[in-house]
Amino acid sequence: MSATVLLIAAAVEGVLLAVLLSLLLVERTLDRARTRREPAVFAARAALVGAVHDQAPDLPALAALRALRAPEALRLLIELADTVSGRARVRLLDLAEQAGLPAKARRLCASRSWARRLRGIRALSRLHAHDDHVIAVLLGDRVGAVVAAAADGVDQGSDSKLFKRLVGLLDDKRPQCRFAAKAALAAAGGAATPTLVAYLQSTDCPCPADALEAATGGVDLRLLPVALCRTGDPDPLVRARATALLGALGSMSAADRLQALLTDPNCDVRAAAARGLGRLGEWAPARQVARLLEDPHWEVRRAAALALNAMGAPGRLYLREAAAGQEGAAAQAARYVLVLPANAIDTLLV
Amino acid sequence: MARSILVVNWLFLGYSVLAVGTQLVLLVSAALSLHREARLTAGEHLRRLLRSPVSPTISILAPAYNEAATITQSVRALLTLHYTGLQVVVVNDGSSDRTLDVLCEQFDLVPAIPPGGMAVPTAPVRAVLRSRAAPGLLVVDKENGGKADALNAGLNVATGDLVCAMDADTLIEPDALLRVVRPFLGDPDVVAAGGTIRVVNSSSVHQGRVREPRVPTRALPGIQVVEYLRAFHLGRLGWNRLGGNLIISGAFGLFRRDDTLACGGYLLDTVGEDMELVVRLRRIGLEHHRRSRVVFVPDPVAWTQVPESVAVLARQRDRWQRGLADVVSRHRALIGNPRYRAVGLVLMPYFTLIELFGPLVEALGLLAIVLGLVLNVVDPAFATALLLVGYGWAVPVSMAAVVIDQLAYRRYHRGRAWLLLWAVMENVGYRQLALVWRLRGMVRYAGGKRVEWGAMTRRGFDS
Repeated sequence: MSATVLLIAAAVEGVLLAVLLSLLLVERTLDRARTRREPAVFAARAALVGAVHDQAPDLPALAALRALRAPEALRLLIELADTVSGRARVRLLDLAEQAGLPAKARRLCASRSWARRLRGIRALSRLHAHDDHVIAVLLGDRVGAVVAAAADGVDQGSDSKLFKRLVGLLDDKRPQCRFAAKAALAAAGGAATPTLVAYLQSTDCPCPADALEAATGGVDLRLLPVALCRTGDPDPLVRARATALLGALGSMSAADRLQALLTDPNCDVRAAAARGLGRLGEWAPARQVARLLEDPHWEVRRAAALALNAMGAPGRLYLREAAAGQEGAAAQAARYVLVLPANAIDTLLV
Repeated sequence: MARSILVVNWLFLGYSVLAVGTQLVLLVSAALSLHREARLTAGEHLRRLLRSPVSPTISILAPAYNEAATITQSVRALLTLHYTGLQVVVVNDGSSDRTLDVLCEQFDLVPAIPPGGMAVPTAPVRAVLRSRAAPGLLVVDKENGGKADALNAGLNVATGDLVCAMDADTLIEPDALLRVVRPFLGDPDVVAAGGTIRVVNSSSVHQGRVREPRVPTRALPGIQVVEYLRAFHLGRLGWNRLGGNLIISGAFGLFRRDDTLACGGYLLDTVGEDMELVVRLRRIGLEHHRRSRVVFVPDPVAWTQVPESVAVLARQRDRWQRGLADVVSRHRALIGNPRYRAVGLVLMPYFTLIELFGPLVEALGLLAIVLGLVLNVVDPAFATALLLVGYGWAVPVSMAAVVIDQLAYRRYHRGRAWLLLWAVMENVGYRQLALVWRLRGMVRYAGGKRVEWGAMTRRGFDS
C-alpha cells in the first residue's frame, strides 16, 4: 500500500511540475516575442505622433499601425488618446478609423461574451470614438461591469437620452452601476444639467442625494432653483448635498438661504453652509459664521474658520479675536486656520 | 511506543492530505478569481476615477518608529500617489532617532489643531503638525505606544471616507489606491480591502519608486519572495471566492473609516493587530447585519523590505505566530458557529487547524518519521510517501504561485530561474527553521509573552 501511495504522490507531483514548467517556458517565450515586437511598436508610435502633431501624411502612420497586431495597435492608440486633446485627438481618431480599429471595437461590443463587450466599450470610450447607439444598448446590459463601462463612455457630447438613462441608473440595484452613473453625470457637467434639473424637480426622484452630488460636478446656475428647493428636504443627507451645491454655484442670490442654513440641526448642513458662504466671499454674514466657531462638531468649526478667512479682513478680525480669546474650541479652530498657508486654505475650502 | 509512532505518522499523513486538499482548492479558486479579475480590468480607465468628484476620499495612515533613514522618500512617494484629495497622516510613534526632525526639515511643519475629537484613546499626543510645503500632509507626534496605537492616533485625525493603513517603509505603487478602492465602489458590503505585498529587497528603487523589480539572489530574501507570492496569489486570492479573507496585511490595507472607528480601532494588547481588526470587523458586521466583506485585490501593489538576517526573520515569524494564536484565542467563539457563516464554518477552522496547529503536527510528524525509521517500525517507502505528500507538494504549489504571477503580471523579466530555485530550496532547511520559529512563538504565547514585538532593522531604499 505504501509503495502505491508513494507512486501516486510522485506521479501527481511530477505531472504538476512538468505542466508548471511548461507554462513558465511559454510565458518566457511570449515575453521574448513581445520584446522582439517592441521596435515595431516604437516605430508605429513615432509615426502616429508625427501624423497627429506635425500633420505628417497618413500613409506611413497607417502602414506602421497595420504592421501591428490588432490588440497592440488598439493599446497604442489608447495610450496616445490619453495624452492628446482637441484637433490632435480628432486626427488620431481619424487615423484609427482608417485603420479600422474602432470598427473592430464596435464588433466586440456586439459579442456574446461579456468580457469582449467590456473590452470593446472600454476601447471606444478611451479612443473617444463615441457611438451613442452602442452605449445605449450596453447601458441595458445584464453584466454590471459592462453597464458601468458604458456609463463611463457618456460625456458632454452625448445625446440627452443617454443622460436620462444614466439618471435612471442612480437607483440601480448594482452599486458599481450607480457609482458609474453618478461619476459620468458629474463628469458631463453642464450637458447633464437639464436632465438632472428635471429629475430633481420630478415627484418620482428616488435618489435626490446622488443626483445632487452628481450636479456638484458641473457648476451651472440652472441648478439654483432645485438646489434652493432641496435645502428644505426632510432628509439631512439631501439637505447637506443641496447646501454644498448651493455653495458651489456661487450665486449671491443663494447667500440668504445659506445664512439661514447655518442654524440647521444637522452638522453636515451647517458645515456646507459655512463653506458655501466662504466661497461666496460675502462678509455680511461673518458674525453668524463666527458663532459656528463654538459649534460642538469639529467639521463645522473648521468650515466656519476657513469661511471667515475667505471673507477677507472682517472675517479674519473675528478669527484673531477668537484665537486671542479663552482657550477652547473656538480658539483652536481659529488658530488652525491662521497658521495655514494661503494655498492650503484654497484647497481646503473646496 | 511503536504503536504511538505509527499513530502519529498516520495523523501527520491525514493532516498533510487535509493541507494539500485545501491548497488545491485554493489554487483552483485563485486561478478562477485571477481569470475573472484579468477580464474585468482589461483596458480599464483608472484616470476617470482619478478625476471624478464623487470618488471616496482616502487618508493614508503611516506609523513611523525610528524610520529616519527612509521617512523622507516614503512620505514623498505617498504624496505623489495618484488619487484626488489624498490626505497623508504620518504618526511619529515616539521615535528615539531623528524621524520627526527629518520630517520638520523636509516638509516645513507647523503646529496645527487636530481635526476632530479623539474617538479612540491613544498614548498622549504631543503635537499635530501640518506641512506648509504639502497641504495634504499631517504629522502626529505622540509618545510611544506601538504600531496599533499609532494607527489609532492616525484614525483620530484622518478625515477620509476610507483609511489606508500601511507601514512607513512600504512603497505603494502610484496607481495602487485607484485599484484597491474599486471593491468599495462596486459593493457597499465591503468593509476592508487589501492589495498584494511584494518583496523589494534587491530591486532597483529610485525616489521611493520601484524602477526594476529583481529576484534576490540571496537565499533568505529570495525564499521570502516565493513565500509572499504564494501567500497572496494563492492564499488571499483563493479565499476571495471561499468566504472572503481574514487577513489584510498591515503593510497595505484599505478600511472604511467610520466602521473602523465604530468598532474601536486597533487593539493594543496584541501583536496580530491587523488580523484581529479584520476578524473583529467581520464579526461585528455579521452580528449586527452590517457590512462585513473583506476582499483581496491582486493588482494594487505595495513593496516591502523583508528581513535579511536569520535573527530578525526569526523574531518576525515568532511574532506572527503569537499574533495568530492571540486572534484565534480571542475569537474562538466563531469557530464552527454557523451564525458567522463562512467565517465561522470555514475560515476560522482553517486558520486554527492548518495555520495555528500545523507547525505542531508537522514537528511531531517529522519526529515520528525519524524515530520510526531508527526503531525500524516504519516502512521506508511509507516514510518517503509521507515526505512526498507533506514536503514534495510544497514545490508545485510554490511554482504555481510563481507561474500565476508571471502569467498575470510579468513583474520579473529576469531571474525566473532564481524563483524556481527558491521554490525548491525553501523546503530544504528554511521550512524546518520556520517551523522552529513558529513553535517558539506558540510556546512564548503560552508562556504569556503576548505583546512583545522585538526590534526590526531597516535600511534605506535607493540603490
